[in-house]
This record gives sequence, C-alpha cells and structure tokens, in this order.
Amino acid sequence: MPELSAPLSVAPTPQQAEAPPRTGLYRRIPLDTPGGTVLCGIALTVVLVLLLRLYLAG
Amino acid sequence: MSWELLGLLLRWIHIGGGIIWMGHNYVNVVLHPGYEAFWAPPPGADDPERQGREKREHAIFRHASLVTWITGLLMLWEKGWLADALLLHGYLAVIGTATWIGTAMMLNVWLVLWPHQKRVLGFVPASPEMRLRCSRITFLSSRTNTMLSIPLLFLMAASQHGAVLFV
Repeated sequence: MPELSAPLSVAPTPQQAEAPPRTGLYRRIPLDTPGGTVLCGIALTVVLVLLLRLYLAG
Repeated sequence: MSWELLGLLLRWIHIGGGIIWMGHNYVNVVLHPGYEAFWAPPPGADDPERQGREKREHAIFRHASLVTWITGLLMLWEKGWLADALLLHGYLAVIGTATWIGTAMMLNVWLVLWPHQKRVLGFVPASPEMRLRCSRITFLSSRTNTMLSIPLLFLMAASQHGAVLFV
C-alpha cells in the first residue's frame, strides 16, 4: 500500500528530501520506477516457471 | 452447506480481498511512480478526522491481506491440497509456490510495511531522520509486493489453466 502518507483522495504536499542512495540488494533491483517493477515481476515469473518446469519434469 | 458452495464462497472472498489489497498497491504505483522522501509529518496530521480516515484506510488494506491469505489457505484445505501444495508435491507445486509468495507478501505488509508506515503517517511519533528512513523502507516494501504480485497472479492462474506449461 500506501507508499505515501495521505489517503488516496487527498493530494499530499509533503516536505521532500533527496532520495537516499540505493544500498544492499535493492541497488540492483530497479523498483524505483513502475516500468522497472513490472519488468522485475515478469522476469521473476519467467524464472519461476522455468524452475517449476524443471522440477516437475524431474 | 455443501463443500462445493463453501469453496465457491471462499474463492469469491479470496478474489475480493486480493483486489482490495493489491488495488491499493497498483493505485499507488500510478499516483506516485517514484519515491518521495518524507521527513515532516503529513499536512493535517494533527486533524483527528483525517487521522481516523487514514487509520481506517490502512486497516482495511492490512486486513484485506489477511483475509486473502486465510481464504487462500482454506480453499486449499477444503480441496485436501493444503499440505501437498505447501510441500510442493507434484503439480500442486504451482499453486504451492504462489501460496509461499502470498505468505511472504502478507508478512511483508504486517511485519515490514506497517511498523514503518505508522511512523510515516504520524500515528506514532518519529524524528525527521526516522521518518525519512521509514518512508524509504515503506516504499521498497510496497514495491516489492507489487513486483511479487505479478508471478503470484500468473501462478494462481496457471494452477487452474496452465497444464500446457508444466506437463
């Protein structure tokens, strides 16, 4: 949910700061954009399907 | 009540809960595509009416995740598939994998997102530094669930309609 602090119906006017630098695992996973999030989801889906196919064929 | 009717009701509630739960995530991805750092309390955070609305909204979101998860497990139990799915036995490994992903997502909501988001929302007092850190964790937690929902939905559909992929 709610990555932000306001209900969906209310436009927030937050004080903003610079985004902290990416660290750890998230440095390599582009979740900061909707497109990156969807691509990661599709890539994970493909990997899981391939692994399940291998597992079920074994 | 027949078992078939119980299964149908569980599925109905499961889908409804999932729409309410993940609908929040998808709407937020559209409304706020990128990370927005917060260190100050949201405007109007001291307005009890507004806080009440925010608490209700978040409670509906959180409990929808729980309802979705529990009805999912009950559906598997009602069919006698629960243990085999969780242990990834045979073709039930497909819905079993989806179940484990859903479990991780539900735990992510309750154990990672909620403890941090209540500081961002101003339900719990927090220093500016802590609110900034919590807003980043909340963002990543939410995005992680959005990402995980993609394979979860695929595997859920594939468990009923994806034999061509796995057999």
